[in-house]
Amino acid sequence: MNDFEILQNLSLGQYRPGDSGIYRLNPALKLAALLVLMVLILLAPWFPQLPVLFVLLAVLARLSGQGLLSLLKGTGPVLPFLVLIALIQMFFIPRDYAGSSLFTLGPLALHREDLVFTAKIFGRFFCLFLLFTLFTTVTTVSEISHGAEILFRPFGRKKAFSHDLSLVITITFRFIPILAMEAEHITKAQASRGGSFGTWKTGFIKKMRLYIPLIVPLLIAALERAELLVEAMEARCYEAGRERSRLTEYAWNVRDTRALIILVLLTLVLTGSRFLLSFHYP
Amino acid sequence: MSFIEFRDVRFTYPGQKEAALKNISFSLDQGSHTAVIGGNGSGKSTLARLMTGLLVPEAGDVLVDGNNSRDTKLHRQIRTRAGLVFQNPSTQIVATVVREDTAFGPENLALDSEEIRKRVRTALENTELSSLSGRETHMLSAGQQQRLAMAGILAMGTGCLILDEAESMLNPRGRKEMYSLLASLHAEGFTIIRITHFMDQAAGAEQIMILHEGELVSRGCPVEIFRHTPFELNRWSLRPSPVQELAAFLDSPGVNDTAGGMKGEVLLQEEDFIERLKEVYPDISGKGQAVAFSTQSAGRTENVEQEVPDVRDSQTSASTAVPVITLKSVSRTYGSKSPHPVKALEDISFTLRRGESVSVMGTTGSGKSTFLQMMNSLLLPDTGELTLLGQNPLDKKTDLAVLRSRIGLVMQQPEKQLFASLVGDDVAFGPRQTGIKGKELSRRVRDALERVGLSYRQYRDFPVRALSGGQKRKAALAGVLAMNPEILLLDEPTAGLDPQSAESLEAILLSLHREGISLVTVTHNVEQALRLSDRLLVFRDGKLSWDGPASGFFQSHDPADYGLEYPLSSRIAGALDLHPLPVTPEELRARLEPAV
Repeated sequence: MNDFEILQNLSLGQYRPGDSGIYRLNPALKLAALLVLMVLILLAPWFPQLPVLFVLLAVLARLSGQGLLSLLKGTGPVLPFLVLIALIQMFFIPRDYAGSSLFTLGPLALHREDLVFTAKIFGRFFCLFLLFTLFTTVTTVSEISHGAEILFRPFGRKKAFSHDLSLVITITFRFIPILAMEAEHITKAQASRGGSFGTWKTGFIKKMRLYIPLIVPLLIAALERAELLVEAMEARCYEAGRERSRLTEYAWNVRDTRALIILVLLTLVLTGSRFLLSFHYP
Repeated sequence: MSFIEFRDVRFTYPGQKEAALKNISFSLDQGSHTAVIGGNGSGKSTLARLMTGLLVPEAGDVLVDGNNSRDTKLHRQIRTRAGLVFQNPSTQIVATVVREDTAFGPENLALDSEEIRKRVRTALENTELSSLSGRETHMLSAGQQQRLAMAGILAMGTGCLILDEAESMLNPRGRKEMYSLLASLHAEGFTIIRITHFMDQAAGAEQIMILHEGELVSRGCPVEIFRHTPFELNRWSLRPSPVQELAAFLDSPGVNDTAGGMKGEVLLQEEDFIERLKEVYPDISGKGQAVAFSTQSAGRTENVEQEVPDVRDSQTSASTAVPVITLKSVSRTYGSKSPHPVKALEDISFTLRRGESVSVMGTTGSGKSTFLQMMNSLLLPDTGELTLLGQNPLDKKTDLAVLRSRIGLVMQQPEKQLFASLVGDDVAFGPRQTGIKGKELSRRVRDALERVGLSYRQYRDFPVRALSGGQKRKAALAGVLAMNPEILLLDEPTAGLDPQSAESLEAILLSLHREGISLVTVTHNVEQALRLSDRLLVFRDGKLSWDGPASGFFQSHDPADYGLEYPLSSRIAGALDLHPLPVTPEELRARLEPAV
């Protein structure tokens, strides 16, 4: 019964110290790779590019020195929601059906299109999840924000744009453990006052229902935290849009160039393959 | 020259009818050390925010080093001159690495990286955080986080620190470190303004300002301020300073007349009090031992006579009552599957008997909270046996919800977990979950509210948001009491409350204990631990280092090794060379008495 250790169950957004080649890449490159791979995953036709991407991510996970399973462990807590979404997608969302149903149960009917669609969302979900987990596992938050700053430097009219963006990223990640802790605190408070969190009797549906009263206090806690953080930032002279400077700078080396070439080639192959071979459905 | 000046300042929060601050005028000199005290909701935090331009007055002017906060262009000037440190250490941290967080301020000032590095280095050295500069911020202890917040302000090049109850979430060790840091900064010429609920700290300032319901009701040096009678101070939700209270206690009529010489004199500093005692009892020093053994009058002195008790030889008192909670060699590890498992509890054995009260102390991360949550079955042991009210929570047939309602847990800052909008509804949440309805439900709510001293008629339909800090805490306690628990587990029940609210909450807890409810209280306040119980548990690194009479612990251990401090009575007795050390005022009095 580990219902309360929300932070422990979250693998998304948790840096794990390590020192493999992937860890030592330039942060700007890591971030660029994240964005490119994200676009590839979102735009890839579901077969065969999506499985290829998944295999590729698994290889990267291996190279980083972190196991694939330990990275995917974070899906555990959201699995009930995923199953629910899958069921809704398969049975309740009407689509253009070409053939007859594969399977019926009372008013519920399952078609080939439903299956394909569900597989697509799930394939994407797992690829994206793995990508983000891998990224946050090998990148510290300060690297992320520096990376963003370097990448977006050419885009801002003023230098401040890239600074602000990198700050937004830093704070987002800073809030992940904070919110996890708040959630833990609230569930415990509700449980100690007779809520059924973390008891032996909770079934699947009941467990999902329990998360509903959690949303409002968690939102309030998040807003309060945000307000306090704003004050603390303002007290230290932060003003949005004003020029800031930086404590450290990062160097670019040979390893980064190599990784960049691989990334470019991969992008070309995967986008190119879209026109060369792709399964058409229905 | 006046550094901070308030000219007839008034401030009202948007949407509120009542002004948070009314007609405040004062000026503070550069290099001065000021304490601001007052009840929860008296306007202290608003005052601090006005000083740094985070809020702008509705009427009147605030000048910081000559800069008027009405002009938003001057805010940067103001904030580089006066830095604000907030109550909750973790909310002020922006970055995820120590040195980057320290650099946040100078980065905002767009200094070049060479200068930033220099400032970060100095600020971290000043706050003794240099060795942690590469550490992740959420891995720091609360005390370290608070020092980091101060480093962030120092790196801005400020010469003034404003601390808004910055010590309230720290343990005795963290607090002590912060005080010595402040003292050295003040010696360097820093202006220090401290908002605090700790009267002994206020007594150490050069001057004190008292806020009450948004007004500056009194201002002066500590001796002038604490000359007010306890009754007057109480009206402002304050109390006399601890040294003063102890002096008054030792001085109370009928005890002895010699100490009567202290009357009329305001003794605020421990050193002064010790000197005074040495004058009153010139031959007390060194005689301690012999005197102690002849004393039987003060009720609790039997502990003094005992040989230093063994850790396991503790359940001497109340040993006849039925055990309600038993832990046998219990261990618990967090994140056992992760690469960095944390041993939160290791081989803990403990028995709580019906009607007992136990105080739990130790540093942050020593396992106190895990221990408390385990007794409420929110956490279960990895190994060992846990028996709660005769049931085994590891047995899947056990209804944990029922068990938790019989063993009530009041978490840290429980008012944050109030979720209904009306007090009555919130208190009813617990019993309603167990299926209680109608008349029985309203009876439960009524009883619970009255037990914490909130009248049912007045507060049943009172909006939670409109309660004061102390009242919210009481309402949260009522929410747990409404489930009729036999045992109450409390995590820092009075942290962050003003002295008067803390006192009244403590009185409620003691009366609940008299009604037969068993109490287990985690606290950072040594004096409070002693007032609530004779039996003390001390945790260190997940292990139970002491389980036994409190006096035994302080007589045989150096509390600093456990992140604790000696109680005031022991500190004074120590300075007078009275051994073994008395721990409570009663014991100290008993030891001084025969010396006359």
